[in-house]
Parts: sequence; structure tokens; C-alpha cells
Amino acid sequence: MSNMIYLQSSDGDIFETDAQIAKCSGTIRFMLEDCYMGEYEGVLIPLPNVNSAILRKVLKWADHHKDDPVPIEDDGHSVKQVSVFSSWDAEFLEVDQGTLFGLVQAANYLDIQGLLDVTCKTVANKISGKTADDIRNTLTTNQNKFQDFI
Amino acid sequence: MITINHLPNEILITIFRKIDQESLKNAALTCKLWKELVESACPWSIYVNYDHGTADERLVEFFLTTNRKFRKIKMDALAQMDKNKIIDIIRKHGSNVSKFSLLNSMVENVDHFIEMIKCMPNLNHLIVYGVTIVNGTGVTSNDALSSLPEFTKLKTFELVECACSVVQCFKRSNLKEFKLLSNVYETSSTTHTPALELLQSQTQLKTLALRSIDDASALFRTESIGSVKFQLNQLSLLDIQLRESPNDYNNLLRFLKSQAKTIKRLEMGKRFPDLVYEFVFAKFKNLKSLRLMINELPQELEFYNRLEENKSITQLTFMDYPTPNHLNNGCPPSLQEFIRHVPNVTDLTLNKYCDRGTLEFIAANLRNLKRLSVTYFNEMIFSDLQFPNLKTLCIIKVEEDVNWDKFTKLNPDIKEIIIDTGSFSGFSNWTESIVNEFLDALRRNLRLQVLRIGGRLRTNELTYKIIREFTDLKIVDLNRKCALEKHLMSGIPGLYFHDNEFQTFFNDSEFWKQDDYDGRLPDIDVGGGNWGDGDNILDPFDMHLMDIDVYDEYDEYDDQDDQDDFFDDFDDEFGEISD
Repeated sequence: MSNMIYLQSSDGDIFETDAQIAKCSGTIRFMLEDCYMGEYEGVLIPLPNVNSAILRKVLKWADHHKDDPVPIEDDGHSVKQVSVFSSWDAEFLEVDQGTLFGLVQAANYLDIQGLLDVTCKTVANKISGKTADDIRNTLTTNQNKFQDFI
Repeated sequence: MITINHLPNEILITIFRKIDQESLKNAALTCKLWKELVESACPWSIYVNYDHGTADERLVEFFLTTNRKFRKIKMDALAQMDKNKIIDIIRKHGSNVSKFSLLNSMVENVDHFIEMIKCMPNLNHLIVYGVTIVNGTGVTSNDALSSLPEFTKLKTFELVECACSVVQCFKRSNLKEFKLLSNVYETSSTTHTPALELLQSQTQLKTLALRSIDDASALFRTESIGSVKFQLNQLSLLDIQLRESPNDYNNLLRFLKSQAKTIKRLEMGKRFPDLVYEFVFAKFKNLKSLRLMINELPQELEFYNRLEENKSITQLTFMDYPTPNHLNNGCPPSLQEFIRHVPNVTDLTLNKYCDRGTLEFIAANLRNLKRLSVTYFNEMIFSDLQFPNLKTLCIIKVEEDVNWDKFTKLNPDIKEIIIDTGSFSGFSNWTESIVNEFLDALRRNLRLQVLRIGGRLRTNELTYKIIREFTDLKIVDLNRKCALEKHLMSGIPGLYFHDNEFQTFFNDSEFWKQDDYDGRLPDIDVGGGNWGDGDNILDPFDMHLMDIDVYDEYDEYDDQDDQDDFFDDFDDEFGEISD
């Protein structure tokens, strides 16, 4: 049985999605389980901090990872989940910086730990191995803004 | 457009923690905010080491003047250092410090020690290793003790190879973990037993580890050890020497009895009388995980007639290997008997080499075994072995001669295979075709879901073609050094690459982390037992590589620790940032 819910982006677009997929977000899971007491078929959740383009990407990511095994409980000697990311994630995150930072923000706001991990790691990779000047140049398209920042 | 400047500071910190130290220094130079974030929010640690007798004054000056916040202080070999400067550093930074390690140092007297820790009211983890109290009987005045904070945040206290007198400073603390290793009791006096007093004052203690204590009688001298107020979940008693007095053993049993209901994980090694095993099996009804030494099992076979079956134990680990007089004779009789008394074990770890005969017995008798972890896997030992319910197989080192086709046909239910071989030349004999045959056998005969391989495999195009053809595989985790061109690997769902070796799932003890002692924690003599006299051929299969020492070089792959090590390194080179 599928349990469809609706998510509304900041630009007003409405996305239909399976509640199970949306629940990878801690924020949404909390709303569904606590605010709607588990009876949430067809509810509409506004997400004023996430725009349509980013929300579409987030849902794509969540859909791909919906079958991820729940991290094995640490029973003493199971190999701990190593923070690595798949080639699918790497391809998925080959996006412009605006989208990447948008995804970081969304993952943070929606509380999606897996997405936050891979996006932060991607940003970290962009910083790694660069000089201070290179970092400034890489991470800002708007030089003036960075001047203020300094 | 969203830029990096829109990200909240805590996210920036998350990102910084994923960056290597060289790059992080550059990140700190980009702008003021980033410098502040890198400097204040990351878990810096102070490491002062006077091991070589030379004091790096520049470093000391830096610690005395910097405004950076430090969460950890580690001081090593302090005998050479100006006492006042140590105190000054601790005074300046102490209030932020949550982990303090004092290693290999001489402290003039207990009051001096009190002066140090007094400055650290927020301590969470304290390690005292090899500290000598030069003067004094070890007893200090109540005045000095009552000036101490209550250390409400102190949860873990490890005391290794030093005078127990420092223990008295923490009587008012509320510990979760207490670990004590080869402590020298100042005198074998009957009146002053600080460790016992500490235990009696605790109410929240969940983990207790006692190891290599030559005179543990001081702890088990009185009956009152049986009426402590805490309820442990985990207990480790390794290499504990009680005087051969029945009284001490009775008190040990009293203590075990008081904890019997709650203990879930028990580690026991060396020098315990049969009675203790009998007691544990009869009374520990909630015991899930048991770690033992094969050579320490009761040898009298009649004993096992008295031993009750324990149905709650599901996880069993052996820390040693059978002595050589058993190696050619199959499974040691005592081990056979023992295994018959733990019918519900689903998870078995053999920390050391295990011979063919023992594994045959295990395969035939532990019918519920779902997970098996072994150090060494080759054709001679494993061929034809059939484990009826095996789901997970973990191996440290695999030889290239294994007939995987045969093995996987006999064990078709295996869903998960983890092979480490990270830092060894483990796969050096594996050619591409051996790798591909291995993978192809898994593909044909198993419905494998998880495959993780720590070390570097030789791979070619065919390798990834085979991986692509697995139908149930959810996770393939390979060393990044196996990666080929992107187009060969793209579109394989669940394909991961890791940069570091795996953490090992084999430890000499689950309760002690070598890292905290720079790997200087004394070994427990495992696998010793009844070895023939005089010859050094301890290990007929030249398994020295599999020894604990090597494995301790692995970091536990734990995010926090990883970062900590990384920041320790970073600190060593602090100069470049502060310039």
C-alpha cells in the first residue's frame, strides 16, 4: 500500500511523493508522525525553505536511496558504516555550485543525514588541495561579495 | 544564487572536518570568519611530549598565549618540564578540556596531581598512564580532596600502570566506565584500598575493566564488594591474580552475583578457577556476548557435566588459539565440551589462528552460526566445510588457493562477505584472473548482498563486468585503489570506494583502545598457556602478522577518532596557521 503525500516548494509547486521516501527527512518524518499522528495520507506539507529545483533533486536522491540498508547496529564487531559515497552519488552531485549549496542547505533544513554527508564531502573535496586564493576563486562567482566577507 | 557564504556556521564546520590538514590550513587563510571557525570550533588538542628530553619552548609559549580553545590535553613524559609551566597551561585551558591524558610522567605528590585536575571541571575522559607519585604515602589530606570539583561530567576513567592513590580524587564522581590495569598498590596494606573505595562510591557505573592486576586481592578482600550500588552492563576481567585464598574467590563470586542480572557483555581471561565459569553459566541469564581464551577453559572434562547450558549467549569470541599439542589432534576436548554448552551462539569470532579440526567441530556443532569471523582462510583449513546457516563471513587474510566455487556451493546462504587484508601484502598473490574467478564463484553460487574488501585487489574490465552481473548485491565496498576508468564502473548501484583500510573487527580486548596509549598498552599473553618449554616456535604457521600488535595500528574507523587524530597531526604543525 502506498501512502502518498504532497510537498510544496517555496515557489508553490506541489510534488506528489511516497511517504516512505519522504520520511528519509527527519523534519518530514517528525511532522507526519507527530503532527498528523501517523494518519497522513494525502496531506500537504509546505517547505518554504526549499525551491522546486532543489526539492526535485532531493526527492530523486531520496528515491534512489530508499532501499539503503539501515546502518547495522553496533554490536561490538560489525564493520562500522564507512563514510564513502557511491558512484551514483558522485554523478548525482556533478552540478553547479548554486545547486550544490542549495542541496546542502536543504539537507540541513530537512534533516537528511545521508544527503548532508555526501554534499558536505563534495564541498570539502572542492576546497581540498587548493591555496587560499584558489579557494576564494573557486567558491565565489561574485568577487565583490567575497570582499565584504573578508 | 546560493553561495558558500549562505551556509550556516555549523555546516561550514561539518565541511571543515572532512578536509585534510594541509587544505584546512589554506581554508583558514581565506578569510577571518573561516579562520575563526577553523580555530575555535574544531576539536584541537594540546600535545606536549618531553619524551626526548628536549622541551620545545616555542610550543609551550604558544600554548600559553593562544586563544584557541582546546578540548583535549595530552602530556607525555613530563619529568623534564618546568612544573609551573605545566600548571600554567592547564590553568589557561583547563575549563574547556574534556579529555586529559597524562602519560609516563612523574608527579611530585598527590597534591600536585590535585592541583592539575582541579583546573579541569569539565573533564569527560581521563587517562592516567605510567604516572609515578614521587613523594608521600599516597594518602592526602581531606582538605585538598574537598577542594576538588565533583567532576559531574567525568564518565570514563582509565588508570594504567600507576599508583592507585590518584583514585581517591574521584570519590565524588559519577563514572560510567572505570578501567584499571596493572596498578601498583603502594603497599599491600589492608587499610588503604582507594580503588575499592572508588567502586563502593559509584552508582552509575556501567562498564568495568580490570586487567593484568597481580594482586587483585585488594579489591576482593572484603565481602562488601558484593554489595556495590551499581549495575554493570559490561565487565572485563583479564589476567587477574587473586591470592589463592578461598575467601577472595568467594568475594569475587559475591561480586559477580550482584551483577548477574544486568551484565550483557563479559570478557574473561586467565587465571580463573572452574567455579567462576560454572557460576557465570548458571547465573548470568542475560549474558549476550562472551569473550574467552581457549587455553584457559577448564581442562577437567568431568567439569562439563556440572556446567549448565547457557541459552542466552549469542556472541562468542576466543582471544587465543589452541596450543600446539592440540593442533594436529582436532578440536581440544575442553573446547568441544564448552561449545556444546552454548547452543545458541550465532556469532563466533576467532581472534587468532584456528586449525582445521576445531573449525570442523564448530561447523558440525554450532548449527545456528550466522556470522563467523576468522583471521586466516585457506584451502587446507576450509575446504569442504559446511556451516548450515552461515550468512556472514569476515576474514582478515585469505590465501589465493581457496576453491571458492566449492566453498560457496557448500555454503549457499552466505549473504555478506567482508575481507580486510588492508595493510598486508594480503592480495599480492592474487592475479586479476584469481580475483575474477573468486567474484564469479560468488556470483554463481550465492545470493550475495554485501561485499566489502579492505585491501587493494587487482581488477580489470572483466572484474566490473562480473560485479555488474550480481543480482542481489546492494553494497560493494572496495578500496579506492581498485578503481578503474569511470565508464567501466558507472551505473553499478551500491558501488562504494573507501580510502582507508577497514577498522579491524579483531581486538585483543574490546575494552581497551591502544590508540590512547600510543600503542604502549602491555599485551595480554594470549595463546601462551601450555606451550612446550624452551622453544620459541610459538606459532607453527608463522602467523605473527596476524598478531594484535599489527592490528592495533589500525584506527577504529570512527568519525570522531579519525578527526581527532587528524587534528592531533594538525596541531603538530600549528605554526603555519598562527603566523
